[in-house]
Amino acid sequence: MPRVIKILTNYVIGPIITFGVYIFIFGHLLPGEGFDGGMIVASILILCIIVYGKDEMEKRISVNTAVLISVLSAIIFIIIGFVGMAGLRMEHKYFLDNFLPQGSFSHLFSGGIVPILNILVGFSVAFGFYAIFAYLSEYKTEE
Amino acid sequence: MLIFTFILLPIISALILILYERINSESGSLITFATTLINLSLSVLLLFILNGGQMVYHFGGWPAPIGISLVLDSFSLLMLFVINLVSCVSMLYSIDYIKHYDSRTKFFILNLFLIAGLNGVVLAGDIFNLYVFLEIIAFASYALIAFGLGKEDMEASIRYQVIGTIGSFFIFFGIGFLYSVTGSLDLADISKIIYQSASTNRAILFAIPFLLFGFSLKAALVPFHAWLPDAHPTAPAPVSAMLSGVVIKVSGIYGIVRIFFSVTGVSPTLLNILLYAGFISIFFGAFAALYQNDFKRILAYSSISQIGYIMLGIGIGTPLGYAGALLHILNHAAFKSLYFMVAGSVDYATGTRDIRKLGGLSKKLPVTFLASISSSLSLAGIPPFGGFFSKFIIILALVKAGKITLSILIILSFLLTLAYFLKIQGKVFLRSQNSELYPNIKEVPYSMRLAMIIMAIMCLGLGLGFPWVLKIIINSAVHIFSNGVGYGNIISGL
Amino acid sequence: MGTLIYISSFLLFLIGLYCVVVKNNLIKIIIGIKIMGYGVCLFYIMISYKSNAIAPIVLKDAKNYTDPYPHAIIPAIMAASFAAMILMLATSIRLYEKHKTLDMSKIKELKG
Repeated sequence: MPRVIKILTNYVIGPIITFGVYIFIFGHLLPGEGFDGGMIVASILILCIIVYGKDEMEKRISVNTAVLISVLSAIIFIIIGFVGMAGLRMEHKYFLDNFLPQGSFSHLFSGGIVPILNILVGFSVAFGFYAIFAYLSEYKTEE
Repeated sequence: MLIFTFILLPIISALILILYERINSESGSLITFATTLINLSLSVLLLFILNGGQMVYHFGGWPAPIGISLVLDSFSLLMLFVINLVSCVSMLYSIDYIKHYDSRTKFFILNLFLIAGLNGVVLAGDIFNLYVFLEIIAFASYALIAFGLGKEDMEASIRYQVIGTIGSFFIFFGIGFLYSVTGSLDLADISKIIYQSASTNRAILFAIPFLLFGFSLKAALVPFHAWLPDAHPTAPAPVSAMLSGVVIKVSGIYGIVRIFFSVTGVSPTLLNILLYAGFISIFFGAFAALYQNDFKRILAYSSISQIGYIMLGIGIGTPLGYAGALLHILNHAAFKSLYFMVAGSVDYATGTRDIRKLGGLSKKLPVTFLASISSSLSLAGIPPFGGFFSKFIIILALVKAGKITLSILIILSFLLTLAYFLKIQGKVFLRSQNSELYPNIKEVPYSMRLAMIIMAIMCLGLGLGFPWVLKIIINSAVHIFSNGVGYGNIISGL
Repeated sequence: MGTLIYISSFLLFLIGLYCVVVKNNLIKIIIGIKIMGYGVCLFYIMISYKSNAIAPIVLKDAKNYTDPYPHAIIPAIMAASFAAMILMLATSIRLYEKHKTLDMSKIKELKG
């Protein structure tokens, strides 16, 4: 990869990751939920694989780590769903119940468990796509 | 009750297996079999509890039009029983069959996602959830068909992928029309709004062909069947059993019934289209099956033909026809998955699927031969096996509805069915001239034998226990068809 | 004017369908499928639009929002079509190395 692209990517990684994280943290106030934010972070991670080469990225985030984070986020999602069912709010004992305090409208810390679920989904999606791309890029055709 | 277990338990097992795959990539059969066994016992328990009612589960406590919900009514319960029965026996079969492949854990992960998606489609109360689970089924089956990584696996898989994705987009387009007319995504809500509107909105009339096209691509009705004869033979045998026995029914027929009967409302034109599409499928599948030389390809064309029977039964429009179609869903799942398992056993033992090279296996593979007799007799519709009752009810419904010529032609098609299964039986098992080509084969391993015996007993049991099957499973499921668009009022009342 | 916009999304869908049906090269078929996906998503965006309404972000003094449902639906569909495209590309890599060609009219191993 030419040096110009590497330098530009150095500058651009920070803002784009911040933008992606912003979308999935403020997912309950803005259009765009964990899924969209996760895809933006995934696209920047895939850009890093393309620009810096697979070996560099293997040292920082290996495929095993990515799969681990992705699957753990999904498992924590399901565990939070079951915690809601254990009955922290007495009249609603359902899966994925909204049991954290709901602050006032349109503040950041409002809306129960929804921001936490957004963050978990964002991590899961981002590292999932990264793992898929890392798998595809280390495929060698058998000549 | 906790009906989300059907979806969550396979997903949790699949996630645990994904983590475990990093450590050991040749395991996972027992946890998969345990998951499907729990699902099967839960569905049998629900069969005895439900008695024609409905169960609704709202996620997060949000009431119906706002939140998503899981809806279990009698037709969903029938499909749940079929899905979990076939998947449990398939997973038992694949404990030993998978020894011919590597990366076994990935096979079980994909199968668990397939099962979760199948259960999710029949339980979904929300049209968008239905679509998402349909996509999960599609992706899992694309990957499972290509699992062998051979030449023809890739070709079959790419063909299925392209055609299946087109079908998904057509369904999604139709969902867009339904959403734009009613403003809500909940199945019961859409059905209530359409029921209460004064005249049929043109957008819904425009949406119906899109949805029909999309679901017919997934169900392999005749103009849209092109992917099935390539995809089902090349998959590994337990995957073929699940695909042919369950997936084309859940993603195609359940989708058609739920969207058209419960949500949009059927007109006689639509019923006629389904009737004639089914009729053409029957004959096309049966004729094409006579020319094939690949064991599983004959079975794949036979699947097209039997799905035609189910469509015919639905298209007649009387409760007797619906009962015949539902009974045929149950019977076809049993005998076709058994037949694919028999084909897989023959492939495991001899290494070939070409029936010109096989012969005389009835002495070397006795359990397989007995299982193939059971499934053949059920396929041909010979009493007391189950296939006889479903075909008889469909013929009776045709005669009662006044379509005499159709019923005579359908009886002729039974002869065609008899012809192609006799071809398989004769060439593979009974003739003796080729048996010296395979001097060293022995019977297949224990789990495969056990799975085939269980399914063979099921084929016979569905026939012998026909009054109980009718009373417990089928009778209340027929009400879904006759209630029609009143589904919305019933579910919203809960 | 209103129906013209809907016709354009339908036209995009049909162009994608034409690519899938007529073209022989596998990469062109995959591009055709992506175009179909974009056409359907455009249709959903058209559904959610109301005139003189602002985007559905919660502000203090606004009364008329456009529909927020498609904002949740469309990324899921984009991700699904993206995943389908990745799966097709992975399959076509292996297809290429087994058959040495990407021309779908020449890949006809399974006959009958």
